[in-house]
Amino acid sequence: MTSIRISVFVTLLTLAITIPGGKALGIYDFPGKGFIKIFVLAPLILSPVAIGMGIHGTFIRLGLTNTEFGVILIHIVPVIPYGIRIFTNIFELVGDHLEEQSKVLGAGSFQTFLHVTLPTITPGIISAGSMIFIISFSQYFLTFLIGGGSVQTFPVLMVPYIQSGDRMMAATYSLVFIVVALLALQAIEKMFRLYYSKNSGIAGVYYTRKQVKS
Amino acid sequence: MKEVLLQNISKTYDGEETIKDLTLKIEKGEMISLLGPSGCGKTTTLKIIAGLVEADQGKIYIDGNPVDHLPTQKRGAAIVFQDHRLFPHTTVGANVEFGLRMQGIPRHNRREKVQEMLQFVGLEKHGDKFPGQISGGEMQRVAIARGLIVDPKVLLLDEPFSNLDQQLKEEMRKFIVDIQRKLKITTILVTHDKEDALITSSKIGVMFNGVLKQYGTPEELYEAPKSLEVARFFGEINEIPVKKIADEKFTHSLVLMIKKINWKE
Repeated sequence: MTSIRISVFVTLLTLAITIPGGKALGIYDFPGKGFIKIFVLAPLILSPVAIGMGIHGTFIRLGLTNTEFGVILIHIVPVIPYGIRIFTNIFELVGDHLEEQSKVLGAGSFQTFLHVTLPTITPGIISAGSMIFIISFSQYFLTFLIGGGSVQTFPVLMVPYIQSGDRMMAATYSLVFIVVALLALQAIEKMFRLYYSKNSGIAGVYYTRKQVKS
Repeated sequence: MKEVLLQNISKTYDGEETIKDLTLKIEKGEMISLLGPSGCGKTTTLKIIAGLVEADQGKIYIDGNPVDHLPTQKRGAAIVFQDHRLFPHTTVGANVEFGLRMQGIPRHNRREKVQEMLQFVGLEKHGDKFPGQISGGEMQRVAIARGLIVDPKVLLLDEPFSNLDQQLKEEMRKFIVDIQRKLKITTILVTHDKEDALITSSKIGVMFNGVLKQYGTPEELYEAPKSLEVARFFGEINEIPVKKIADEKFTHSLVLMIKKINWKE
């Protein structure tokens, strides 16, 4: 289904953006950090509709309207604040101690990221990923605006039924919506846990326990 | 093994000088201590040697070669941190294996070496456990094994005894001294406890507020402290205000003479 495909891509892209972003905000010090921390929350404060309307013109010029790629791009706007927020907090908590240790033992930057950073922030990736997925999955207006009706996601199909008062269809769609979202979340979580338990055992469990202790 | 030389190192954090013009030479295979109260720049010095922190000024040589521009992973300086910093998501064995894996050594070669190293630190039974399942002293030994297995040019120990109770502390001191003597690895120990330094090291550098006050053998420091701060740091002393009437040598010997006298008797 288009909906799931779009939301999965949105999730992956947003994670790719927000992990480095959150790390920068959580660990490093640089001038203007406080301002940027608030600035990235702008899409939460400002209505995404306003942003969508503004970007619509640009997207028409670039030929991105009515395409899936355009919809994916516009979905990233409302989810970025959540991703950044979660990863900033995670990195503030985890710090760069383990990364320092890894480098001292002779690991390069990429090796460190793959073998040390990623496993330690797995719980964060799971929670941020599911949040991003849900938000993207339930996006109606932005999909409608940029997709122009030709990109048929679940909410775009569902809303007309709700509005026209067709309770039965609306209820059915809602139920399917919830089930699909739940299944997708389960899948994301399973995927991550499986991947890391293969290489390394109980990634998240120990981490959360340690969090509570400190 | 390899000698380490620090030349005129300075480092400023937020306008405060953490390290001032530090020069330090460590012979091959020697074990020395950096001793001083917390916040005097000892740990920063270690991080500068390892390349985790860049010095504002000065040069660092390891084994005669300047390493200032080498990234951390190529310097061959392994730090064992105070809080162990074991990777919580992998087993003890995998923690020890980490450095070898990063060097791209094939799996079956790694296995053997890891087993050897675990045996060496007396943890061969714990290879499959997770860091959360072993005790503090064992974690410390894992951290040391993990540092040793990459065959570092210099081993840097950051407060290795501070989280341990008295008995474990003595065990660990012995353990570290034994290992150091066996492997003849150049070692720098950072500590705030004068006992640690006196017991383990052939030379001690005393630091206050980022300045290396005195660097010498434990006997030199204990019996001929060059300044009042150093003398006070090594134990209770009786101080008598004196007026300088002769040269410095005289006042020093005076301090020494009165150091161990109990005046009430």
